[in-house]
Parts: sequence; structure tokens; C-alpha cells
Amino acid sequence: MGILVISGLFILSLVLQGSVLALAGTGGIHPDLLLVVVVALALLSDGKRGTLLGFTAGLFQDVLTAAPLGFFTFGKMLAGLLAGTLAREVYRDYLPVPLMVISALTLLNETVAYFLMELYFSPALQLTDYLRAFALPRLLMHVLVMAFLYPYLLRAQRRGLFFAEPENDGDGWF
Amino acid sequence: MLAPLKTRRKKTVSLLLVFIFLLCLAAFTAQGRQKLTLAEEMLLTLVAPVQGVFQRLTRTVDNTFATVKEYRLLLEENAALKKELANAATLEARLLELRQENHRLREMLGFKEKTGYSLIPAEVIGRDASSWFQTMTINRGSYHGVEKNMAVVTSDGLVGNILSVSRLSSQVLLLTDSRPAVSALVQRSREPGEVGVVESAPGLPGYLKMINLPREANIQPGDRIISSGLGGVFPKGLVIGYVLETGDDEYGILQYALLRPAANFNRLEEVFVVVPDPGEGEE
Repeated sequence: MGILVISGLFILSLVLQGSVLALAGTGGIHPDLLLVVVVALALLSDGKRGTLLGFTAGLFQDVLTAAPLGFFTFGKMLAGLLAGTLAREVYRDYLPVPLMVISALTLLNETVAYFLMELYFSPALQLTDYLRAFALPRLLMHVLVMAFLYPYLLRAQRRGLFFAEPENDGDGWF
Repeated sequence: MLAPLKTRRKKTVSLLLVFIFLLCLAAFTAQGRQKLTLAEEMLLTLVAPVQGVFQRLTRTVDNTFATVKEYRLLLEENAALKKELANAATLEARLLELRQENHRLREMLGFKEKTGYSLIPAEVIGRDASSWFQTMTINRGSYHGVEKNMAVVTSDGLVGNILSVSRLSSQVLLLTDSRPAVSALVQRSREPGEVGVVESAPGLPGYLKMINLPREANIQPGDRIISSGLGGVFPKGLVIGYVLETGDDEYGILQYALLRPAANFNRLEEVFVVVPDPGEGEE
């Protein structure tokens, strides 16, 4: 059941960010709803599940947007891993925590994407210019989306909609 | 309690291997793949109808806002169009005459008359929202006759080419993506030695750049750039864009031109997939 709900959530996020959310963006910059969902769910879980969530979400995005396979998977998996690992260390019910985590992971994800782009293609902008022009506006959008979305996901998880309570420490990656 | 050191080390190594595998996979698939896997095709086929619904919803909302915003412009445009319509009948008669004349001239010169392209109409049902790739999804796939690499156009000009095809949908690589390159020439001069390559303009999202033009190339602002047909992906004669400015490359050996794309990439709703003429490759 949880797998179906999460897969549905991923696909819905991708479809929304490719259609309706494109209207909400400015200057060609749109929120990466999928990243917000991955980070939020990973924070409600643990490192192992966070990694798997990021891997699956990234793979969906690679397939649905015709990106090179692994491009988005890499960044999303890394974000899921870090958010899931942090989940053990932070007080997840306190809203500023996911807001801080999404801010940091948005910057990380954009930086990773930039370097992957540099590895496989030639990016048009310098990293600093890219971060200023694209990553910072997206960071603000992600904070807003997370502030709206996280309480609903937290409530849903308390009802056991996504997965059983996080596994014990021994099952984490680190 | 933390997992034993050995187990943790094993997990860390396997995690690193996954990341390295992803890097290799992305490198391997960065320049496009020949075929989609069955799982990918199933996912795309399942998601396409959902994308269609949301895209229509988005378009409705967008159109409503645009209509309200552009009401005044529409009134002015309406008046201008009425005037234009009055001239249309004269123009149509002139067009018919020119077409007949053109046909006669072609026959005289012994050229093979080129028929119009065969087109598959399609609706845009999804766009990639990331700022890295410029792709979109259309609601026509292999079931409708779409094949990989077919050119995609609007009535304004070339949009891109088919990157991958599933049964009911296809993904289009837009010209503004960093990956495609189109062999092109200046329509005014049509000099065969002045074929350049059109690709996305680095640092100028939404614009195109024509590179590798000889320094003495006869090109100037306002010129219309069309596909040359070389390379086999894009048929000859599709309008790509218009020259905004020209300049020398960094070494001063070649010339480049900055282009405004003919198609409006911000408002792509309906497009056409160009089915190549079977005889085209033999020309």
C-alpha cells in the first residue's frame, strides 16, 4: 500500500511540476516538487529508506523527462540519503527543521546537477551565476512548498500511510 | 545502537558503488539511447493520459489569465485582422498565380517537384520543469507512426526532434536544449559553402546560435535561417530562426550569428511531427 501511495505521489509531483507548477514559476524557474517530496518523506523515515526513495523518484524523473539515466537519480538519491540519515538526529515534528534541511539540500542538489552537467555537457553559466540566478529562487520556492506540504505528509505518516515507523539505528546506512 | 563496523563499511561501499554506477549510466545515456526499455515504455504509457489531463487543466487556467490580460490587445488585433482579411482575397489570387508559375518553372528546370511534408498533428502534454534539459512530451507515439529522430515543427518553424518514443507518447528534444545541433543555411543567399550549425546559445536561454560560418559568409541581421537537410535528421527547408546579430568567433577565423527561434518555445501547445519523404534520403 505504502509503495503505491509513494509511487503515485512521485508521479503526481512530476506531472504537476511539468504542468501546473510551470505557471507558478518566474523566468523559467520552477520548483522541483519531487525533491521536496523526497526530502520530506526521507525525514519521516531513515537513511536506507530515504536512499531508496531518492533513487526511485530520480529514476522516474529521468525516464519521464528524457534526461540521461542517472542524472536526476544521482542528486535525488544523495538528497534522500542525507535527509534520511539526518532524520535520526533532528526533531522532525518542528517545522523549521525540514525547512532548513530542504534549503541545504536544494543547494546541494543544484550544485551536484551543475557538476554532472559539466561532466557530460557544457553548462552555459558559471556555478556562482547559476546558483544566484536559478538555485536561490528555487530554494525560496522549495521552502514555501515544504512549509505547506510537510504538515500534511507528517500527519499522513502518523496514520501509517507511507511506511512503518523508522527502523532502528542498526539498519541505517551509517 | 550503531551497526557493527564491518556491516557499516560494507553498506558504505555498496552505496558508493551505486553512485558510481549512476555516474557511468548517465555518461552512457547522455547522448541519447537507441531504444526505451519495456519498463520505461510502460511507465510513459501509463503516465501520458495523466499528463494530458493536467496539461489541459494548466492550459485552461493559463488561457483564462492570458485572455483577461490581453483583452485590449485582442481588440486591437481584431481590428487589424479585419483589415488584413480584406486584403486576403487579393493575396490568395496572387499566391495561386505564383504557385502555378513556380510549378511551371520547376518543371522547366527539370527539378523533381517536392510535395509538402506528411505531418502528424500532436498536442504537448508535458514539459521538463528543470532548467537543465529542454524537453517536452507529446501525445503521439509509435502507435500513430512517430519514430525516433523525426523532426517536430509548428506553423512558425522547427521545434526539435523526437528523442524517444513510447506507444502513446513521445519525448521531444527542443532546439534550445544543449544537445541537438542542426545543419543550417541562410535562406537569402543559399550558398552551399556557407552551411553552419545551429545549437542553443550558451548563457542566453531561449536563443539559438549559428556557428562554424565562414568569415566571408553572406549573412546579416534579419536573415531567415533554414535547415540544410544535411545530417539526415531534419528535412531541408524548415525555418529555424532569424538572425539578430553576427560576430567573429573567439579566434577570429569563423563567424557566428545569434538567432531568435522562429517557433515560440514558451507557448508550444500543438505541434506537428514531420514524416520524412521516403525519397528524401536518396536526393
